[in-house]
Formats: sequence, structure tokens, C-alpha cells
Amino acid sequence: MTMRPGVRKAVLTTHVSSSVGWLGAIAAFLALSVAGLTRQDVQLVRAVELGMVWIGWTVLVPLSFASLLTGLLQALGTEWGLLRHYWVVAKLLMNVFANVVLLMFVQSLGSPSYARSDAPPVHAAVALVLLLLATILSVYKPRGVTPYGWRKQRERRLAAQRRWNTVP
Amino acid sequence: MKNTDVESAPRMPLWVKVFGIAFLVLVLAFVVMALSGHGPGQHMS
Repeated sequence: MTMRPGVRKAVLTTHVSSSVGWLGAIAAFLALSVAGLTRQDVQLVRAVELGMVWIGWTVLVPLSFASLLTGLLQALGTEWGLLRHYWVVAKLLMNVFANVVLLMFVQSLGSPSYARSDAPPVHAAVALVLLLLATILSVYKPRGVTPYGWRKQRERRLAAQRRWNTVP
Repeated sequence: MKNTDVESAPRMPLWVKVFGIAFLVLVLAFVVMALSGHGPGQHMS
């Protein structure tokens, strides 16, 4: 099912906003986690921990879900499809992986031992790289159709040829 | 002229192979860390 242009643009706007917002929130989370790891001031470290918990639950999780949901809608509701182009499949895999890992780690955020370990900056840095890669794929849209996408393209081409041949 | 009925599917681009290997390594690293006690939930109080 293909979305109408107005709906498609609204979903695309939401997808870009949530995905870029997610990227920015992870950058903020990374800065906080580095501050929590390198500073000695107990009050500052406690404030950093609270900040990471707030960012995790109120910004990272909603934006990551919004990015995944609108990405699925955008793929399924347009000619791009979900499994037709390798770059769409790659983005889907990265988004699902990042969502799963985020959901698993966000539960540890309230723990002082987690906040004061080197795990948060490492997790944030990996997530940042993944989301940057997803952004690059979205902009460049590298060539390459999957075998499924190729079959669909071929079916459409053959159907068009048949229609052309039956025109009186 | 090519016959579209016997046309074969295009080859997988190099970037997809590189991405696939890198992504697999990342997922495996995550699974190994989780199994070795450095994964999610280990820091929960």
C-alpha cells in the first residue's frame, strides 16, 4: 500500500526529526557519561547520573521507538519497500539492534555502579557510530537491490510490457 | 538483445558484504559481552 503524498511527507518529517533527535540525545548522553567518569565531585557525579536516567527514559527511548516505527511506515508505505534495497535492510537491522540494546541497558541506568563504570560512554559511542552510519545510508542511498527487490522490479517491468503489448 | 526471462539477479555490492561482516562482528561482540557478565542487567541494583 502506497501512502498519499501528504501522509508520506508527514511520516518522513517525523522519521527524520526523531532519528536526528535520537542522534543528538546520544551525543548529549555521551558528554554526560564522560563527565560522570572523569569528575571527582560527588554531587556533580550524582547530578550526571540523574541526567543520564532522565535522558534515557524520557528522550532516548521515545525517540528510538519513534524512529523505528516511522521508518517501518516509511518503508512499507512507499515504493522503497522494507526488503527491496540493501540500504533499507541495513538501516532496519541497525535500528532494531540499537533499540534492543537501548532497552536492555536503559534498565541499568539508575545503578551507581553502571553510571560510574566505563560502560555508558562505550555504549553511547557505539550507538553514535551506528546512527551516523544510518544517516549516511539515508542520504547517499547506495545502489543495490536484494534478490526479492530484483524479482519485484522484474515483475513490474514484465507487467508493464504486457500492458503495452495489449494496447490496440 | 538480452532476454529478460533468463536475466539473472544482480550481484551483491561490496559495501553490503563489508557492512554485513562488521554488523555480525558487532552483534557477536554484544552476545559475548552479555554472556561473560558485562551485558545488560549486570549493573542493576
